[in-house]
Amino acid sequence: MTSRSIQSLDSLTSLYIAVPALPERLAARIRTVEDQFSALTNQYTLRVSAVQKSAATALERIEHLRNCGCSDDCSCAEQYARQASAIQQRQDRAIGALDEIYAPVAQRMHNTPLHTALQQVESEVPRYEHGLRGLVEAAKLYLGAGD
Amino acid sequence: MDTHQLQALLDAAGLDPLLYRDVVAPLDMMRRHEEVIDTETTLLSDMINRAQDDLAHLPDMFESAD
Repeated sequence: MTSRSIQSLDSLTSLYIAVPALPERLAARIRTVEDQFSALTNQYTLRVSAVQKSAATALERIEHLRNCGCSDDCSCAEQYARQASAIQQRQDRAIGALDEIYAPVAQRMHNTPLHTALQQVESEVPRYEHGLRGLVEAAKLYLGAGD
Repeated sequence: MDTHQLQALLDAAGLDPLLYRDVVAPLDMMRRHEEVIDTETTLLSDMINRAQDDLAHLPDMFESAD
């Protein structure tokens, strides 16, 4: 067998070794991104919760106006409604600003079929390994290196 | 060794085209999906990093409207 054909067989063998490790490498990349996204989701959720808490506190502060009845022509309930509406709008705007940052990433994350692509890689490995084993054997026979 | 080199080797050796099909086709398929996963994970990672930075620097719009 020539040194060139030995080199070719070595290349085939190294390819054979490298490919089965491919799904694990890709799975690790996907896990890393999922961990990053999980951290972002936590950060976003905490910020949304903080806004909701502030809004709830603000509503509590004006709660006494809601069913006030301090006089016959009491306008406290209308005042409450106006202020509560303003608080709601502030909350919507604040959460909207957070959504503007988070939503595009979440959408891309959910719409990108990373796991489907990984499954397709995984499903090709046995077929590839089987084919390559046969190929290496055939190449050995052809090159005169058969048992 | 890429699929072109592999194909050249198999052609030179005159090996069974079925073996070629069983090796090169799945390899091509895996490489295509590998490229998609590498590209998308890189893009997503960059997007997430930017979003984390943007969230960290975004003032509390509720409190600042006070």
